[in-house]
Amino acid sequence: MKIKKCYSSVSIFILFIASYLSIGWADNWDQIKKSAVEVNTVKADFIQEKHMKILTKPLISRGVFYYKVPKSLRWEYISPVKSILMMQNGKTKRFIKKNEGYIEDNSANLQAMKFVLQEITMWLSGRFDENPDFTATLESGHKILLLPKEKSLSMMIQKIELTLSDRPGIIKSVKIYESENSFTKLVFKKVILNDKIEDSLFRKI
Amino acid sequence: MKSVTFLFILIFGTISCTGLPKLDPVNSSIIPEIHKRCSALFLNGRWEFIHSIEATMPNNKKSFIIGITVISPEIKRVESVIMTIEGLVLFDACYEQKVVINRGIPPFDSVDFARHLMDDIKLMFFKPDGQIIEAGMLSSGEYVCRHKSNDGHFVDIVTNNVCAWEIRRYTPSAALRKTIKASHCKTLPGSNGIRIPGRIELDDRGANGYSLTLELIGAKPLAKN
Repeated sequence: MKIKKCYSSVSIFILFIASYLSIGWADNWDQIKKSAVEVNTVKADFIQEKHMKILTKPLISRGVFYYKVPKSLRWEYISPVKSILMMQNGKTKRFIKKNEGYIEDNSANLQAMKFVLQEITMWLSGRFDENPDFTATLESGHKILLLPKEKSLSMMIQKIELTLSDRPGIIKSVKIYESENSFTKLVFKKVILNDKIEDSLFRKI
Repeated sequence: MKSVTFLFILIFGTISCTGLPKLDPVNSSIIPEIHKRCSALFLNGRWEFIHSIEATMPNNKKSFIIGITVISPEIKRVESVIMTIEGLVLFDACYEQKVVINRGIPPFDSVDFARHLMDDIKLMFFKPDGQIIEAGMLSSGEYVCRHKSNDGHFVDIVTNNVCAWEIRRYTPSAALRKTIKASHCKTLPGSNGIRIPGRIELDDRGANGYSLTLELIGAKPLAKN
């Protein structure tokens, strides 16, 4: 009985310490920025769910995500459409895999994606509260809510919800709402921090 | 002057009329079978399609998007969403007698764009308006059903079998304006064993011509609304 009581006290203590540690880094903007400073590279698998009223079930895409400070991104989809979206030194390119190899996308919608990519690099550097386009609020449950400042932007993106991982410096998931009925959920898995990533990965296919 | 005008009309008329390919007559006993084949290309009931789309514009620039389409042929209703591969919705509209744009990010926000897109979807998935005015065979051996719509356009449905078909749309002056080719049929899980074209290629030959290649990602029949 005594052992059981002791075990239960230890459990509560461990739980308390664990929750303190995990909340700690996501408790305020300074802590978040401090944790982000220690992140130089990120590699993660991702699963993307597109939820829309028109779809009977979410459209699932999978891929790999790479980030390197200060602003290099590679967003590579493996299914259902093989494609690579890259950003380095402010230049954004998208390539799609076709039978004849990768073909560059010249579409105007790349501008909209450039904006999204720039947002992501800002999140990864922990600078949520310095965002000129969104007002950031820290919420319970390791969540950050981003609301557009301008009406013109809110026509495109209604809100963004980021859930931070228990591991400092890591974003667990992102939900981008275009409307109440339409949102994209990205869940990051197998996250590797500060592994060596070659610069060429952000320039070449 | 009158004779020059007459000559011009005659020449122009002759050139225009050469646009519609001549159909070889077939035995009248197989005409119902040709009609059946043409009709079989079009799905009945409500369907959801997901395609990856490669768009080639007049300046030869390529654009890649994902298209989600829900068709209800019986009530001539189309719902269409276009989004980037990353999931950003660029266009969301519905057609049922008129086009309603729910969301449009430039350059996908114009009514003209929406109308053209809906016309393309209707041409791909709905039986043509108007009566069949002729059925026969091309010199290449393919069966053809020729429709004439109320606005004077001609639509030829060219079929060898259910999975290699072509739709050709001609202007009232018989100039070929648009072609749609279907191929690479697939039976997808959830599609009730129905074979769906894995690839659809649309070629618009108008002044601002463009082409679209649709690769099928998913298709499923839906319950009626």
